[in-house]
Amino acid sequence: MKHLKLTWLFCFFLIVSSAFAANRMPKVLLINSDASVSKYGEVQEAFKEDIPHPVVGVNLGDEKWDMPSVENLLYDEYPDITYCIGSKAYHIASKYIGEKDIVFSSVLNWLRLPLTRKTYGVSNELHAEMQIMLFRYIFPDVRKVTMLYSKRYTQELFKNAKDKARNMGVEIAGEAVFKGRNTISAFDRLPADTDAFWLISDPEIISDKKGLSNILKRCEKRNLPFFSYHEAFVKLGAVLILSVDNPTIGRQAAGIAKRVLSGNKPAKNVEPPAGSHIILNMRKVKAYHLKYNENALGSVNSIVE
Amino acid sequence: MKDMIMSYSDLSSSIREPWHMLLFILLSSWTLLLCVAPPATWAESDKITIYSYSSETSINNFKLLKMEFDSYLSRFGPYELQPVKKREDFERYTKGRKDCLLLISSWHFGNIGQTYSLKPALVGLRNGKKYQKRILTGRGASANVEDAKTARIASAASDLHTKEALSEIFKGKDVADRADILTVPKDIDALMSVSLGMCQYALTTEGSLEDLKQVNPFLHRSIKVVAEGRKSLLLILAFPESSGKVRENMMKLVKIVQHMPLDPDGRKKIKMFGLDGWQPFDSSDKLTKGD
Repeated sequence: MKHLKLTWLFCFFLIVSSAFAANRMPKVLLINSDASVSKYGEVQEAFKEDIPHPVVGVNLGDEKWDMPSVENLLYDEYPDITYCIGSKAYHIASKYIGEKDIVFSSVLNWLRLPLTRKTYGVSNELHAEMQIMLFRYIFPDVRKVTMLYSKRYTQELFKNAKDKARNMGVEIAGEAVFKGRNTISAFDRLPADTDAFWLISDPEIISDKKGLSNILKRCEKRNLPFFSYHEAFVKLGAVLILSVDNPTIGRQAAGIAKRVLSGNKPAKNVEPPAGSHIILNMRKVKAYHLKYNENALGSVNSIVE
Repeated sequence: MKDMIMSYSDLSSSIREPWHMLLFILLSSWTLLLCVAPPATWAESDKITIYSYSSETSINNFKLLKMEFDSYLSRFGPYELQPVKKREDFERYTKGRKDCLLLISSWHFGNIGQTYSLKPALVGLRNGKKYQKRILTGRGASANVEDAKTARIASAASDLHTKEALSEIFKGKDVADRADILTVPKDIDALMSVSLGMCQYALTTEGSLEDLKQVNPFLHRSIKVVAEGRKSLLLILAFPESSGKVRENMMKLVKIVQHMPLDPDGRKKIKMFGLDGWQPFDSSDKLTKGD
């Protein structure tokens, strides 16, 4: 009789605790490397709007969050999932609660991060195919594009881009650089008869200001328009800037977090950004007498006159 | 030229009295003002603002639209464009106002037209057509509507607009409300996110699919249209019911906007809204069409 009572009691607690667990709101922690950086702020805002759960936030840019207080919070909260914006945030989460699910975004060269099978994220670079499609969309006559790449970071991107570009009638030629030592000679070996130069994000190509300046001077000398990935290049004469749309990254991260929390793991742990941001330098378009697609103007975020 | 200089110096020498000098300065300033000022004069009360909000795209190009349209419209009078990011803000700014025009999607017009006592003035054209059809696309032969109900769908339209379009396609509001939607800035992003695997389906328009065909025919061949929605009118320029001088000013601005495609610069500006022309709203125009 006593055993029967104990069994009933055990079953009762089991049911109550499982019902409680089922209704428990998941704990979502957001660590922002510095919320005062506008792109990080945009990503954070979009994530919070899209995630249907309460989010505890940590802004590492705020002085009150020193390392001991962040460490304490991570152990006290012990969140079900942590969303990290920027690499600093990711490194901290990975160090203290690396055994939990972590989603990252807004990290340059994410392959350098210490990854686990519980790491998910949105990369910070538009997929090569997406970029070529957008070039073609804005500049339908662009047929031959050159680029520099490094074997260490961007060889795969080059191969992939070359392959995908062919489907769009675009020919891509490239030369490999090694730690910025042969950048200029590699550039000089690129075919001269081309429509544009595609300057990609690679620490071995853009190793210093002088190297970058030499590449851009050579573009100018060849009267070669160049496309790039960051709005800072507009001042340096880029014709077109293709970058990521930050709010979309935040929404993608929220989508990944929702799927992981519901037990449906994403097919790929890291996905490329789904939204693009386009800046068109009309001054350079006119200077190079480039023909652009007026119907694509509705897809352009900003025009530099 | 010499004669002119002579006559000017003669005139200067004839100014002996201080009040002569004052009169001379006043007359010169007035003449200068007449030369520099725009041909028409207007009061602040004549100012008309076009408020725009598009439920069809989520692209952040508000600064660009504002700069480009303001520089164009100000040539004709005290007119300006005010793009608004959020629907709630747009409706808060425009509700009850009589001195503005509204540039909105036909879906949005259908939602607020009566409450706001709006009259449609112009309908946008793209490639000469005023209707567009919303389509649901997926990748590969196996893509289908049933699968789309539980898959991730990319859409550039606002969440509400997307869900309403999906409820028509899925034939059920509940299914549409449960749909996993990723909002992207523009249609071409939605189509590319299907191609690159970030989403399994994209809710776009026929026109965007045609753009994809031009840019990447290879990818276009792999995209399957799994469902079609009803045709709907493109953007609508509407005005609130009003009378007298305000109405007169609004109609002037409607005419200016209507004539924008005739001027290469104006045409370039309306392309930023994805349009290439306007047509006066016809009483036979329906916001949506079945076929």
